[in-house]
Amino acid sequence: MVLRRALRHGWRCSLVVFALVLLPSPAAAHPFGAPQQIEVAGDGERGVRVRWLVGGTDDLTVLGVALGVLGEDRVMLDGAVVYEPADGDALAKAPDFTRYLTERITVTQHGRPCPGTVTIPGDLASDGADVRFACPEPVGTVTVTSRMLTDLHEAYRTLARGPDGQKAVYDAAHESADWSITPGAATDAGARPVSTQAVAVSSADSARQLAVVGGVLLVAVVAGTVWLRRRGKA
Amino acid sequence: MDVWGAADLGDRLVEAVRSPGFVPVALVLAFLAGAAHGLAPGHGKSLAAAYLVGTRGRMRDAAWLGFAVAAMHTVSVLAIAVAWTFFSLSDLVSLERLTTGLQLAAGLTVVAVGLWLLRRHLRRRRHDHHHHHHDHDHATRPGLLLLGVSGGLTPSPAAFLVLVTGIFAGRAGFALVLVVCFGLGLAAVLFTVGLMALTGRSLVVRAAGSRRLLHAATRVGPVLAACGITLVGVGISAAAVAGLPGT
Repeated sequence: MVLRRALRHGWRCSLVVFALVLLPSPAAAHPFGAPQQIEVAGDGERGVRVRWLVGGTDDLTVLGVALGVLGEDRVMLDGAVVYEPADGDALAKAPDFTRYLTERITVTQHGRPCPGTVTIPGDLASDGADVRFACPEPVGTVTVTSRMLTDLHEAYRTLARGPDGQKAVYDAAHESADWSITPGAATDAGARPVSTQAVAVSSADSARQLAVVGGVLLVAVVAGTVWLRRRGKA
Repeated sequence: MDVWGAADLGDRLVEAVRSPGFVPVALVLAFLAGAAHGLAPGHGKSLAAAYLVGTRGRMRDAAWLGFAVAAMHTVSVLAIAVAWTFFSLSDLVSLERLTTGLQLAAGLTVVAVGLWLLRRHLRRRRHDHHHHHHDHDHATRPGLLLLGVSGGLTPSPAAFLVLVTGIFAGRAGFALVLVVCFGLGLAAVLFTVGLMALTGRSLVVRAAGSRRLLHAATRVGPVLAACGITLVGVGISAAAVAGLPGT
């Protein structure tokens, strides 16, 4: 009796292990890759250049379908799309895409808009698209708004880099941030409600945080190992 | 197909990096996301089970394995996130290529561990034949740690996104703590699978009854485990080679 019960129990255990090993992969939903990015830079005395880089290339196909540049048949029954190099070329040539870029990425200087024009320097998927903004006055601090792809899905996020290691994260709840384009320019905080504004942070601060937390972790692990060894010997 | 809700948990975790407050909730979320990620195929669950059974491992060995996976995963995510953020890693190599390369390295490590186990076992058997002493194959730290390292070498997309978002949003320290919790969740799954495999083995051993059957099982078991580990390693490496995008 005991033997049979033990066998049945063992069988159940191995079934669970088997199930764990063979279940379908959720990782397929999020392949490894860089997220969507923008780079903010000065462009002459009165200009600002914002370069947009797509995250996963399939996002270009999704955007192409949403803008009507690509056919609806590119979306498979389960909602997945497969990027083809021709998709990037089609988008790069489409006026709707250019309009989308200048509508979703905007730059203002003290509340006054800077008009933008789009250039696509090379392959859209790997080199991205440039939007060049001409501002009314010499550029010090500007407000850059990016709402790229958040109309397709609000989970889209944009990691943004600026001059001198400034960084910010844009998402559906944080659509704009102030950037110091020329060194020493004062940030005019309070121009917008803080809740909808991303804050450009410095790289040095991030590096310091990583070093502190990483150091504490390392010390904890080393101390734990030493303690275990001592206990093992005693 | 997202049985364990790993993708959804990952999204909510990235969300949590930015939102102030609810720190304990975020930590639990990170742990759960890691566990859900660990429940996906791969990550050496079958390897952990085979290794622990084949080398007559103990509970402590299962814990070591889990720890090695968590530590390696944290180091891997941190290194890639820092290199990508501060040292323009993407100019050198695309992240897709890098992770496929890491997968290949992980696969080859597993093959090496499998072959080493096999060789060690065969040698010992020949040795036993002459001297008739029964020093069975016990789990060894280097093999365990290597398997753990190979399990944590390829970073999970969600953990990477959490850390880079944290760095860009000025909450790098908090994001790193979340990545550690994510690794602990991953480790907990491997530890549990290891324990289940060990329980299963001891039940089989107890139920086997006849000494001859048990003797046969202890002879064949380690060889099967070593061959299995080698084959899985070959499979991982082959998948990585097939997935390497052409230049």
